[in-house]
Amino acid sequence: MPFDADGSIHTLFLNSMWGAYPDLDPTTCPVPFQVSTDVADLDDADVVVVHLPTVGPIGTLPKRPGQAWVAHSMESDVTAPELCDARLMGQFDLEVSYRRSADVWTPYVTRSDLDDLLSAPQRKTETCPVAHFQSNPYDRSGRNYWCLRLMRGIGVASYGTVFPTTRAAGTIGTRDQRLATSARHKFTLAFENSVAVDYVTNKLFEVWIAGSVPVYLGAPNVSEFAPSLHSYIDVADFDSPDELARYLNHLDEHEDEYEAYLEWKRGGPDARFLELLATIPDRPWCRMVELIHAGLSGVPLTQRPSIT
Amino acid sequence: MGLVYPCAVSERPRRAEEIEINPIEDGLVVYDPRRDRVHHLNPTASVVLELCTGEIDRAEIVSLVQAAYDLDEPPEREVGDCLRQLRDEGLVE
Repeated sequence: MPFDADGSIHTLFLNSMWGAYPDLDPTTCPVPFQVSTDVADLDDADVVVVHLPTVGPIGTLPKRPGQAWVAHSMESDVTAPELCDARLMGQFDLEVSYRRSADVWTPYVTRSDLDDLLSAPQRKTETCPVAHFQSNPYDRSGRNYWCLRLMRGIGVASYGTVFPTTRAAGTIGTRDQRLATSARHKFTLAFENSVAVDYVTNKLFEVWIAGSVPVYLGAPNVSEFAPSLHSYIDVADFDSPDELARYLNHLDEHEDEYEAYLEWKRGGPDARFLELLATIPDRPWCRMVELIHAGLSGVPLTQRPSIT
Repeated sequence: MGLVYPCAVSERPRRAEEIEINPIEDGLVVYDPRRDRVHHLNPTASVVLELCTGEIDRAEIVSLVQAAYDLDEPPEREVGDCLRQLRDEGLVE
């Protein structure tokens, strides 16, 4: 009998996600489970969730027969290249990640965000057309270069601790503060730290919610995540930061063309976007345990290519 | 025989491929497995390192750092020193 005496699945979160653990209430899930963060439970756990970006080498970790291992990452497969390591991933039974191919898909947007996404945009009162929030210099996308060069061609109010240009720099730390500030600017830079398929983070969704127009640098398939194909400006469509700055200045001076980027807020998102939201699991950790439960009960777990 | 500058930094410096870069709250932690050394870069040094893509020349890096920190003068010396130190530690080529 692989489950605990009370019938619930003992789930160990082996390591934290940058110091934090998932905020979840397992008692509300259809399949009951217990949560532990004590590494001493490694041998007893039915399920071991490994946060790949922060775990370090796991080659020596013992995997008890019957135990299910789950690979978890919300960082891109550029920052967490383990996701692309077939030999390593072959040790896992499930993947919980931002990748649409994951067994449990956990994108940075949820169904419950829809109401916020459709909130009416505010009047743009800031003199600087562009807002920027960045407090980490880590850069695998070229974002630092694009940001700094863009600053030469258009006014950028930078509120983060990286490239601070405003008095408020470093003081805007919460999501609500970012939304309120972004809402006052016509454009907001949404520059991912790395470029990877499906890696579309809250940087972009927050700008859509705020009602600013995102200037996006990141996933090549960002259009699949967009509420409308005319709801963002993709850096990839421009040959240089100078060309991008000229286009943003043009939009800044032509209100009708600028407003067209916010039309979806009034008319509603594309049906394609609503279909995408509908495919997102409501409670991903519950879904993970459901899959594990099915596997431990004799139904095969999702199979993945494995090279050993 | 003319002067030799053994410590000259490439005109288009590039991050060493082998290093592992991890973001932290106040900059970057960089691990160099070849030397088994860990470095902590403050935000400014982090920006310089991340601009070492092999495509941006040294003058442009100076100019970008000047813009980043809204400096009155181009930080030629500071960026030069930083690049040399990064090169000496094997973090850029």
